[in-house]
Amino acid sequence: MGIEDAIRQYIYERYPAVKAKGLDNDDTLNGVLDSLAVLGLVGFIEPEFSIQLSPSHLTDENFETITSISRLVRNIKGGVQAAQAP
Amino acid sequence: MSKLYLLHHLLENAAARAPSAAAVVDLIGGRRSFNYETLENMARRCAAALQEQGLERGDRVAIYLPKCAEEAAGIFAASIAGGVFVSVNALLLGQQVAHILADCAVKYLITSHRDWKRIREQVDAVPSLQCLLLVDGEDGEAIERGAIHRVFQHSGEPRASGAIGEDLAGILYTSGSTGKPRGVMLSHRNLLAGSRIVSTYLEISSSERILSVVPFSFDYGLNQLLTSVEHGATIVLLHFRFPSEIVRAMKEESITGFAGVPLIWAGLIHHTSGLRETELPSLRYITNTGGSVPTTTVLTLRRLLPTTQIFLMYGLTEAFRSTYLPPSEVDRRPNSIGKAIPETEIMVIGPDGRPCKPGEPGILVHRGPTISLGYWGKPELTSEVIRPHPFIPADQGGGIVCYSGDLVKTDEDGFIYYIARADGQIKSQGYRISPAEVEEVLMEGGELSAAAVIGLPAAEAGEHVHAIVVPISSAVLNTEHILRRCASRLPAYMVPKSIEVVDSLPKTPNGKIDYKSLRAVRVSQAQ
Repeated sequence: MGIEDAIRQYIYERYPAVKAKGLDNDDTLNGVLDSLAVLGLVGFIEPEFSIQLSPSHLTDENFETITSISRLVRNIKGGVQAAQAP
Repeated sequence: MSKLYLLHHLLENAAARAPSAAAVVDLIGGRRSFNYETLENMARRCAAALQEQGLERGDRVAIYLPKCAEEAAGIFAASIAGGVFVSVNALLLGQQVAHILADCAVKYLITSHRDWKRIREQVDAVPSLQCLLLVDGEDGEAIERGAIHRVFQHSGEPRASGAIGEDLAGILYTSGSTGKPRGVMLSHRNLLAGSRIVSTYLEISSSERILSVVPFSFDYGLNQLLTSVEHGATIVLLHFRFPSEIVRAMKEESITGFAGVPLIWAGLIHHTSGLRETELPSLRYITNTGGSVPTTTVLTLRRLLPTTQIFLMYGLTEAFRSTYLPPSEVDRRPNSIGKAIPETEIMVIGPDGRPCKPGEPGILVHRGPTISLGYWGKPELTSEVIRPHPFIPADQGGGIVCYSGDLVKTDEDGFIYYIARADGQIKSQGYRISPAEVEEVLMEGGELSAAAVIGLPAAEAGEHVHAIVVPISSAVLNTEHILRRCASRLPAYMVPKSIEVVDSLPKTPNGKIDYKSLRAVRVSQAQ
């Protein structure tokens, strides 16, 4: 499963009302996920994709849509791999 | 000699003492700072507008705005004019706002164009509503009802209202275990006592900079405003989505005091909050509201903020605050809600009506000057909560006490520990939720023959809302459709987080839904 689908599945499982309405990759999450939900999502993303988020990653821009969160995850994973390369 | 028996006397006195001191710093959409002279001026102008519109002593003035300096000014304006403020949480949707405005027959509504558009469809039909007072200017779209624009820049001087301290000053809406939200009536003397008492044990001074993220429609959010103004201190208003925004504001604004619901505490200790990397030498104290904080969270925060005092508090809107745990006891009893606040007596009363011994569970009963005047328009409900003293007869000076409905116990040293609600009321994310209000929306579509809503344990959130439903026919039930309806009709914290379809609901011997067994079965399954 891709990053986008994994995040959507996580949100759907925890927020049936969001699932009922449907959530596309580019739909805004602002107003959909409150601060509690964002923290829960962070708790899911970190182990799921083996990344560590820092305070500077938690911005409205990064958490605007499923697309933007997935981009953040890819950027961090890419950065880690690049740093580990000899 | 300065007066102090009405809510706005706090503001008048502060403005007379230090007119140019910062009263409110509003960080929402930029940074706006209001000194005491300006804040008092805004409140007086709004009060004059209210009186010009015919406000009579005791008339209700609702305020529906996201937390902002204008909301603070509106609360004091109602008091100056002789009215009663009704602070409405901006998270509520049209249906809930209409209920509140109709319930206590609000005549005046202070709001903005944007917020009015969100609720207009439902609120326009409230018969008592006479006049809109808008914080912003005309935006080209006609608004009827003789709306007053830019109400905080209105010209005019208010006249003395003739109010006294025993008059109603405000109404805060909160949920019980049944029915729709009810309005807790607070007198000027209630609110002033609450401000004085909390200031005493938190040792609030004029150098305080209090960060306010809790809505003014919550008793403690309002109290932060009142204690700050009472002492001529500064209150800093913030909306946040990420906990890092709170930590940044604490740093940049040299915040000295902070209050949050348990979820916010969880956010602060989360590694993305930035708290670990930020020095906060100004932060003198942190306190909780809207439910108890899990012990592990308390201890982690103690470690992260070793020089900050932690005050664990307990209270309910009907009696404002009841207990607090002094910071010196936090390491020893991090799961205790402490002892009675100043000027107040707390009793723990068992099912037999006698005082409980240490370790015995009983209902927390509160006696003191912050007991509210009861629920607006609901004498029966009021008499369940506000009752005569259980041991001292009225004709021997017993007076009234407040039955909290919360089960607690004490230890050998008299420290109190919260156990559970004695009724079906749900507490989630700092909000009190009545199962009946959610059940009503569940049933609205006609697909169900019965619905029961319970709270299931959920760490820092306290509880989450769980719906158990019985379909009317055996045809496949579209639970997604039902949840979609809930999401469009209810604020997010009230929407069920899970829904379960069953064939029937267990009943008590007298034919009511047996909530206790519904909950007990599911809690034990989860463990």
